Amino acid sequence: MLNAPWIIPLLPLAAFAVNGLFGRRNPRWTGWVSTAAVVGSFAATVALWIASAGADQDESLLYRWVASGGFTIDIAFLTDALTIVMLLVVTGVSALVSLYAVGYMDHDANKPRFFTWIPLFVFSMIMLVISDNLLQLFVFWEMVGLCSYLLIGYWYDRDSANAAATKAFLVNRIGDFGFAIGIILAFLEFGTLRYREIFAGLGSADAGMVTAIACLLFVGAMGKSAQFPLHVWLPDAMEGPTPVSALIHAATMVTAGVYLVVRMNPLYTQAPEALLLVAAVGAFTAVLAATIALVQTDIKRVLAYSTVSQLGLMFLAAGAGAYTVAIFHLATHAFFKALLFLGSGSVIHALNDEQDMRRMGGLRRKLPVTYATFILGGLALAAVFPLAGFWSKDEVLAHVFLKAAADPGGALTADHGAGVFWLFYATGLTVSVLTAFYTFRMIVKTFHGAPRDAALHEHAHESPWVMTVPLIVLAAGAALSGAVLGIPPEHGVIHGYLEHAAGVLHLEGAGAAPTLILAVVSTVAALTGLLLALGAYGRGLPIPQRARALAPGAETLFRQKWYLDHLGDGFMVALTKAAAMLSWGFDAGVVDGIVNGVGKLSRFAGGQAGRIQTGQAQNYALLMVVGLVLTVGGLVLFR
Amino acid sequence: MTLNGFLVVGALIFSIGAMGVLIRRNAIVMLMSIELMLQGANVTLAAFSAYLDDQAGFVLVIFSLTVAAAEVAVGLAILVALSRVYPVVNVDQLDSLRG
Amino acid sequence: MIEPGDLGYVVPELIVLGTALTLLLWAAITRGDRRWMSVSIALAGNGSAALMLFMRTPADGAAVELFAGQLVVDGYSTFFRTLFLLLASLAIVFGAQRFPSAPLIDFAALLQFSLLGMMLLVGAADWATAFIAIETMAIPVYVLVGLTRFRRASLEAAMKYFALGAFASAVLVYGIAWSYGLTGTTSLAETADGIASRGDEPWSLFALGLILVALGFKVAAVPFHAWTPDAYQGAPTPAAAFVSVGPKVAAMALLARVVTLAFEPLAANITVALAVIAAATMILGNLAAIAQSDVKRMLGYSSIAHTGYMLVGVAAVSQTDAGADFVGVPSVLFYGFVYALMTFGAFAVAYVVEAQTDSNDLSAFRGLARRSMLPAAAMAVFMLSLTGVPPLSGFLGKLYILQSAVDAGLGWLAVTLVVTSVVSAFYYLRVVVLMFMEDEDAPAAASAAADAPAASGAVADAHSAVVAVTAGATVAFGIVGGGLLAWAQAAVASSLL
Repeated sequence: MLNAPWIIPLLPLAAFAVNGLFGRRNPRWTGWVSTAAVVGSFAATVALWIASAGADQDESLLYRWVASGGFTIDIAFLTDALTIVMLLVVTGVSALVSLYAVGYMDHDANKPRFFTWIPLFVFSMIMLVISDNLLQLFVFWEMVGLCSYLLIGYWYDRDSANAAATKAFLVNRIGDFGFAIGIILAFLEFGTLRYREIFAGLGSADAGMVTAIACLLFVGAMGKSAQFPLHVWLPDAMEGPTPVSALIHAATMVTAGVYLVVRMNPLYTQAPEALLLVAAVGAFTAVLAATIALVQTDIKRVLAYSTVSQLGLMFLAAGAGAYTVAIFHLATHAFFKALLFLGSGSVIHALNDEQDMRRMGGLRRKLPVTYATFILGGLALAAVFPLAGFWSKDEVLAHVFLKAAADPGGALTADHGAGVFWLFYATGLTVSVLTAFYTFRMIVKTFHGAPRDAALHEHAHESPWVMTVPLIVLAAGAALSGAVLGIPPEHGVIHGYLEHAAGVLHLEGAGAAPTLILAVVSTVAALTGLLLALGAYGRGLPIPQRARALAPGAETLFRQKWYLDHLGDGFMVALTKAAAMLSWGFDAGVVDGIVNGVGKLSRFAGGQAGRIQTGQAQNYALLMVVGLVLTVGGLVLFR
Repeated sequence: MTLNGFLVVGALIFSIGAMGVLIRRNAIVMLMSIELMLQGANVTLAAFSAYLDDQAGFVLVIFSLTVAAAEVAVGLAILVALSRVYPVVNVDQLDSLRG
Repeated sequence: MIEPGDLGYVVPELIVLGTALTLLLWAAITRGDRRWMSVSIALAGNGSAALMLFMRTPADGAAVELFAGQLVVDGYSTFFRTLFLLLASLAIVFGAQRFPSAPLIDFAALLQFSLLGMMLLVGAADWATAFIAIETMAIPVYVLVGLTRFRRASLEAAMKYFALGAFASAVLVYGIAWSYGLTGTTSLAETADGIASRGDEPWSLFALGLILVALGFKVAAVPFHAWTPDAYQGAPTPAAAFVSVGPKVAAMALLARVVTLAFEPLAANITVALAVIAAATMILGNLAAIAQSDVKRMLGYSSIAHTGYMLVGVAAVSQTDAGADFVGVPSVLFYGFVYALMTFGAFAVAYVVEAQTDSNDLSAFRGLARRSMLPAAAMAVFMLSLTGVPPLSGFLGKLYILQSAVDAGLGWLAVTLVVTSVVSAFYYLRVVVLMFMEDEDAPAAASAAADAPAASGAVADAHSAVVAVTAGATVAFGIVGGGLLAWAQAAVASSLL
């Protein structure tokens, strides 16, 4: 009973209903209702995890919605190891963020609305990862997108929030369009949308079709997980409240794309070209976002670009065939990135909603708990031994290295571009340096040195316990999760556990010595970046100036986000206009546009149809007689 | 008279009634025309019943006469109520509801 | 032959008849405000009838023939009788909102008589019963449409509906006469044998054609539909709500029985005729609805379009002889049930707006969400469900009908259904946009406050309950539609088809 999987989504759904119905009358309790439900969900997940230990997987049909001949639409649960790991991450982080938000949103007048959407999001996310078929996944994929949209635009009186919400919505439509086509193709090719049946049908499937499906599904993943060129929405999504950024736009929803690729891994293994695409997009996005993060001044935007970059690393791992590692990094990243976001939220909260790092500084005495936990999170993100990020990121790089080494020829060969993986490995190392650099640039600017804005600094205060407790718990996770899950490398708890998941593979380790050497290399890379940042911003060494001299124009390029937003914005403007035309087709001005075809013609036809309707009973009777003659005549003539 | 003779008469009465419904504008005459159609059907029923030497057709005729009476009562009642609100003689005046 | 025990199976019908007579007597012997009492009598009668319905259902689920084969009690008739008892109960509560005391008691009595006809109609196993039942159903409905007898529109609608209805009745009797003459029987089941022995000779098709036309009038199929928009627009709203769902679904039930039982040997011919009629009905109903500005008239054309969808199912039935299979008849039953609830609910909300603004114009829906959230939300559910948006019941209904059509090889008809459904989104969603995205006209709102009839609290709450029940059922049968479908399948499996 306790390990029945349906309890897990049911509790947040109930919290959504309760807060939606009664929240406005009892705003004080909404946060606690949401937190209690999500904590309950987490407990149920843990119970399920313990109960399922050792079992391969369990599928349970919750509800057959449509059974129409051979066509069925099911709501079903697939609880294998992969699902349970995802569930633990989702419910665990959600519980902490919900608790944190009780404090963070305390003074917000509209918090019942906030605590209505949060449990709805958690419910949808649970249903997404627990699904046993692509259709259910897609429905809840859209649902989490909707929640994200609603929460980005939570402060709807801010124009920037509305614009960001619209941007997220539209960019995701592009990804979802590809995703939907991929699902339709999958149904046509396999005749089913259940994962297990799709995998069973892979043997006899057309190779070109499999590649096309894999690529289209990845387009959906690119949208949701903010990969180049669809990454532009995520930094803007920081307009939402900070707990939302931590939960949806760092730890859970944006990792759904990674989850999709890993979940469909037998399909991707059959489509090496698609895997190469995944790796290439992941590697490029990782370095692109890391460079942009170097020059951001808004603390949340640094973290947002960092998230994009880390998601790129996860895709790189998946693209190298190291699916387990992708999930491992996803899990550790959820801890330390949620921690960093919540820490930044604590800072922002303390400074009366100031997000600009140029006005911070010297906060480490004022916010000791936040500072200590933030340092831990930063070290974990920078992948410093022995914190969480070290173990998982090191494995990502190791697998990319092994993939490259598997083909010493270094050319695009039958192993589909193993040679390119040398480039990807170099990219990964670069990202390590950059990550450590921007992380400590952020830490130093925020917490060290002299306060740059005395008035703000004066009023800064440490956050209440509901906010610091989640920070401490997450800090423990950020510090320990990597070691607990990932020691020894390649054979840690998570590797062994995920062995049970359907078809999850990982490359054979290359033995202790190369692994150790690779670990040392990536640690050196991380420490280089860290020390450079400390030198530049802590000691005032002229490192940035020299870098500018060395590569003039690079800073501008990064500041302008590689000009992608400009490109994107032009595109977005066109897209927004098109969408406005479509969605507000009823507006008088647009009736001449898109609705012209259907609307005017149907109106005309409708008017004509109405002309039969003269209002005269005898004409109606005549119509009936004509119909009678036609019916009887037709029956007799065409018998 | 053979069966066919009765059937032709029935069909004629039915058709004349139908034409009356289509052509005659006076509401009362229109109702009468509908009655004529029903009687055409009744003649047909009775003819078949006699030909088949079966009682069911006659029973149906009785039913149909009864129903026709009820129908006419309701129809006239509606017409009377209508003429109180709005002096109607012809059905083609009733065209406020259309389109 | 007639057994004394036969009466036991028609206790629900007897209760309904008794309720109707009680209401008439009550009207004659009492004075004062009798609204409360009329509603109570009708609801108590319908409730106990429903109870008896399930207590007297044949234990083994088989069809029981009563009164020398005149009437049959089977799962099929029980399915529809349950729906009709529910609809009549909702209608009487709805009527209590609209009518003062004296007309309400008439309304209730007429409603019960019509209900009696509908309940007998779905169990008719003989042309004699079918004819009597269809008239018992129709004649009170003519009066219901003209019940507000000081409004010209109401009487005009009643007059047109009556004249054309009587015309259709004459065609029906003439068709029955020919069917009887050709087969020598009035029993539906035996008619099939007689028709089978004659094959598709012209006179059989002549009789079939006449009957199809008469039933086509009752279900409002094109080109026998012309009375529908006029009658709905002119009728008082509770009567329009009832007429748009009750008699139509009852006639559809008889049509399905006629097609699968009496004229089963001519199934191939019926499919062609019904498919053509269905296509014309869907196209004309949906197109004409777009041009409407009166909500009741729009719902009238909408109900014509939905007749078309149901006829697609009936056309598919006659193609596949596996009536008890998934496809075909059960899909029509399912659609009839969910259609009735959502259309009735839409009329109920239309009345909420009518009471507020004294107008049935679509513009009166402007900004309804700001004024009254519950009716607006419910109306959005009805409109989306009528469009066929998942996961609402209208979507499932269309899905099942589509499946039937595709399985029957009527692919072109399925395509027509989908395309016309897309067109229908145009006028259904317009209502949603008006309610949620536009501001109301200030003067209209002001006058509404002044003119709104003062409904007592309990009555208004009861009306909200009608809206809530229909909206809830529309959502619920979308999400858990499998149960209703299973009931429909069981009903068809144990029926005289």
